[in-house]
Amino acid sequence: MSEKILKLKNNIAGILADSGNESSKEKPLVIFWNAGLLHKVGPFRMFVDLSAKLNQSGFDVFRFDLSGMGDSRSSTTLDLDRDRIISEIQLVMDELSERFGFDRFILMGLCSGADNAFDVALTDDRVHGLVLMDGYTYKTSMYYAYKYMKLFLNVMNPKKMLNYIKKRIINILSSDNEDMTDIAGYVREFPELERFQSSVHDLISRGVNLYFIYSGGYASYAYSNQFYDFSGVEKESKQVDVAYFDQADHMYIIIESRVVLFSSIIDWINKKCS
Amino acid sequence: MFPFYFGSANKHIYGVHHEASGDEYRDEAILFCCPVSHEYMRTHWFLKLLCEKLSSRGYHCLRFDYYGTGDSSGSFLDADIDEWIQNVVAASDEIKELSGCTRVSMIGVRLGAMLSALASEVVKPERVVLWDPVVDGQVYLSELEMLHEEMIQDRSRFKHLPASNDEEIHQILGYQYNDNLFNSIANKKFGLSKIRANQISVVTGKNNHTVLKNNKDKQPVNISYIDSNVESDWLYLDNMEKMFFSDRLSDVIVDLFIE
Repeated sequence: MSEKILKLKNNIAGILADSGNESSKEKPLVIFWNAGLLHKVGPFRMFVDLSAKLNQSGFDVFRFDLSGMGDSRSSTTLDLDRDRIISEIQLVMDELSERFGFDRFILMGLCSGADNAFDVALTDDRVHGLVLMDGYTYKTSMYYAYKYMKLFLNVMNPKKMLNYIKKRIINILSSDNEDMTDIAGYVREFPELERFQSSVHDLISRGVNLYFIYSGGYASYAYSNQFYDFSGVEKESKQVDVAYFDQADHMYIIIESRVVLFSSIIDWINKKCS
Repeated sequence: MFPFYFGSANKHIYGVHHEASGDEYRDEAILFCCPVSHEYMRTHWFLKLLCEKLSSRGYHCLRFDYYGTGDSSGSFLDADIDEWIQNVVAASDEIKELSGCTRVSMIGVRLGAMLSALASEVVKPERVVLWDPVVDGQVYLSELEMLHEEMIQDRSRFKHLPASNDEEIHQILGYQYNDNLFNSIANKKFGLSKIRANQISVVTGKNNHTVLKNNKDKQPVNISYIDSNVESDWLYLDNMEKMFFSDRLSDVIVDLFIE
């Protein structure tokens, strides 16, 4: 295993973590990038540690910062918006294909990074798999049932109720919708539910493997089957897997929850994307 | 902005060189000593922008990640504070060689400020800027542990509250500290009189100089205390993962270099 710095077109800088496995070029290349202002290292160095684990499983990994973010210089050619992000990720895949011969990719993202990964997959046939951590989600009637049950339990406990009211007031005053801003404060825009459903359907038809991972710290996701309830995907789908780590927070700050996350991603990728 | 590795082949250190631009030639490069753990994540964006500002005013700047942190090699579990101090010294040599400058100054943040102070005996910098320096390793770790305990009680973060720390395992705010690292940080103290630099500037928020001003060490004659009037809230749970940014603090630090 070794890491080397790559400087790509469009001022993009990243690190290729090479597994040293000769057959790794036949496997898809795993790619991560910054989530908003949080650079390519990831929260609590999550993406560096996950790269090492993926290398041990024989996958090469490229982690990078979009231009102007983290350790990549500003681009002068593209504007900072969703289309720019999609174009840049595709440029990265183009260059890695040319230079190293990778022709299939697994995109992984957390929070707004997951949103970007999903959007890229819709427009690029080279995407073979997606691992989306706390990506797009939609509230269902069962979600509201869980939420109000929690509120009821809070009413029964004055201390919890006081905390709840305090948080609500702070949220209202700061106009801060907890899941619609990413970990670095960027506002996330979710597609309409119908569009999301048809997009998932398109990806399945194209043979893309999808792993939706939700954490207990993601306030818009309340129960393990919520994905199936809003997406219309059948639980028996062979291409879609869903995990709900209700012990974890949104950033996987507790090491034990990161261990569970990593092991689940490695198992999935070995099973679905080798 | 030019990312590269330095150090030995099996322990490479990741650095980013911001080349000097602008009209003025300066025979002085600036080495950035970042904080560690969650504070590294919070300040990465701000320090990058500060590097860009200073490099546009003629200073070669180098940011880097200590061994076992950021994009450098190694695991945090293998990290060692004395090795981090050696990394500071190596980074100082590196920026001198890259820039051709004969003089180096350092900007250290939190634990990075302590590391830059401890490395100054070897580096012998022109100036040292210490932003909210960690003065006592034991106090620093206790504060982080208290923040960790507060964090794991936060019901808006966790659906199910995690267990408290096992005393044998130093899991603090997303990182596991090995015994050696934990104990060696705990044993480190910041000695004002040991800082070797022609100028020492201590920049803290909201007039928070008390700890250093009351330090039993003799106050060096070349020290200045600057109140940035910016509260960094290092120990405020709600800000723990928020990116730090302050134009005001950036101006205060740039002004120290642009006279």
